[in-house]
Amino acid sequence: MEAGAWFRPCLPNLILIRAKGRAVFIILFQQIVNGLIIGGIYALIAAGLTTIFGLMNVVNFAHGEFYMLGGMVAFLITQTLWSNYFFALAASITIVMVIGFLVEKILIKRLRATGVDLLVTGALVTIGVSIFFQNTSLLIFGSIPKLIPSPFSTEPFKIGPILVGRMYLFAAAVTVAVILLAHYSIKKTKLGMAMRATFQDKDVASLVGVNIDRVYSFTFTLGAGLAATAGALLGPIFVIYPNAGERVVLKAFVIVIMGGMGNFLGAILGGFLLGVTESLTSAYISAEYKDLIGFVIVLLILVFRPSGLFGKTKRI
Amino acid sequence: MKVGTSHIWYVIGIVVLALLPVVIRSDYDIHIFVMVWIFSLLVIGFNLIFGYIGQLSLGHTAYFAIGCYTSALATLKWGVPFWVGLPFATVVSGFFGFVIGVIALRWRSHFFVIATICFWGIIHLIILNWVSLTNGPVGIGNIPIPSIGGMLFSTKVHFYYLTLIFVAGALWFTKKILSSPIGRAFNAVRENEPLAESVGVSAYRVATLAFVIATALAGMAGSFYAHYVTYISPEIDEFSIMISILVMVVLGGKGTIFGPVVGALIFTFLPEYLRFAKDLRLPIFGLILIMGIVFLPRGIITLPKLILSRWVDKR
Repeated sequence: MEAGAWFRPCLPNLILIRAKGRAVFIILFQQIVNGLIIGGIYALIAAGLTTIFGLMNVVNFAHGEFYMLGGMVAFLITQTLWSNYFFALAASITIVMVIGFLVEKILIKRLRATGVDLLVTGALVTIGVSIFFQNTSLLIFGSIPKLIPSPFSTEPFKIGPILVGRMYLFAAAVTVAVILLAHYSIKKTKLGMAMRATFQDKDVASLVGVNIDRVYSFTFTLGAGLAATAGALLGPIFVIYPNAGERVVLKAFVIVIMGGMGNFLGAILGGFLLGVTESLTSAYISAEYKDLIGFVIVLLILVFRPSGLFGKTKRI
Repeated sequence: MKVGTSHIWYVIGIVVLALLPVVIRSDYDIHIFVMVWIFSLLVIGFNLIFGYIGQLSLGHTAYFAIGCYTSALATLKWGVPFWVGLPFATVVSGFFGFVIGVIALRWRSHFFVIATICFWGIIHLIILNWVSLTNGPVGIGNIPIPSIGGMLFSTKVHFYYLTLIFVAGALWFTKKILSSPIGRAFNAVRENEPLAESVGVSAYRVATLAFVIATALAGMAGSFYAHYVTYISPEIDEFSIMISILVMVVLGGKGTIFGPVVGALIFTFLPEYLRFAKDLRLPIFGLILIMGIVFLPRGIITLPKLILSRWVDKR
């Protein structure tokens, strides 16, 4: 199919579909599947960011670094400790969660205690954390992009006429499992209930005996873990490098706005939506401007629907 | 009496800064000072919207870049002199600031932060990809240096004085604005918006005005940068520069007139003089930033007062 053929007006397009119907639809579905897989990864990152924002009122600029560290630590483990990818995946998520836990305990808790406006100081401190991690890993790993060796064969998996890489499929499965797990722990566990109570009213929750510090600590650690999962999953598909977090955190902000700030499910849906939109844009309109689409969507949402695409802002 | 003494301090400050190039012989140090003055223009504006109105504009380098490219393209493509390019860049940046301000300032805090980031993202992608206009990642070189009636601003010392005059002008302008009713409206909006609205101050308009001034000053800084360095590329619009601006304003002392300039001075020189630490430079910089925010949340400019009050308390 020639490039741009898709873009003809409606009626000729129908004829085109009838003529080359199969090919056109297969390409379209292929793009949608690719978009959904990348979108799942976006969703993982954005879900943590939106929860941290909604609960703690902190715009976490270090979130992209948790993603980057997830990939980098997994790479380091496969190179030094044990080349088993699945072990590296689990170990790196655990390590980054510990790092996230420490960042919250050492810095953000202290800021909260001083009683200053967390929105600005929280953003600044996490920017400092982001500079620190970015440049420390540049120091350790160098600027050459790293590719984690994939544990699967490169031969793609066939679903009808659509081809999906085996690593992609694994990443999608883990993404869905982790999202369901996080959702379950927020909805059903006692800590999750405490989280939702804190989200609704911090003071009342603390009055009825919810340990707010523990809730915050859990939220931040969970967010770091979700981002690290994304990084370690994408490591064998795309390359990972010390500045990788910068780009990702901007995308995650876009998704957080799309889904409504602090809206966990909104962020998940927004992630999938952005993934598919980007995939279709780069296939049918312009690959250079595929990143533009997210920013434009956000400005439009802010003008017409500031509470996000999926309604109410106040929900977790 | 009080006014008299503070005027004396200003005069002393101006004389010291004016004589500095005579004392400093190193071209490199003069160069850093020129960068300090260019950054000062940027942070003086940024401080108006962030320090005085209290809204964090995280896409401020976009307006700096618009100023750079407007001025460079106007002088190169239309052949106008720098003295036309400078006000033109200022006005164009201010205009973009107006458009974005009108859209984004309808909300406060986090919405505004993210709207400004998105606008930055759009400008950044356009600069990178509109190759026929901006030359893409290669950048634009051979930007003419300014001249007055045949005299070229060819040395760094020339630029030192040129930019210093404009920084002094910008400081004078902010001081005038802040002591006028508009400035009091700025403070009112930051401290208590509903109360300000109730006495007839339109927070939306006041914030938009501050944002337009801030973006116009960023455009002016951009024009100076383009004609001083004579080469611009998409790197001037990197997020790391935004972080530098933020660090200068916050650790210098946001919401004070001179704090941001002090911040610009310290945080332009500090990374240069941290070079002895080689690769550890930026990790150390990150740690200093974290420490500064945790221990000196009101900025370095409050440090003398802090030490003084401690000392008085001890007695």
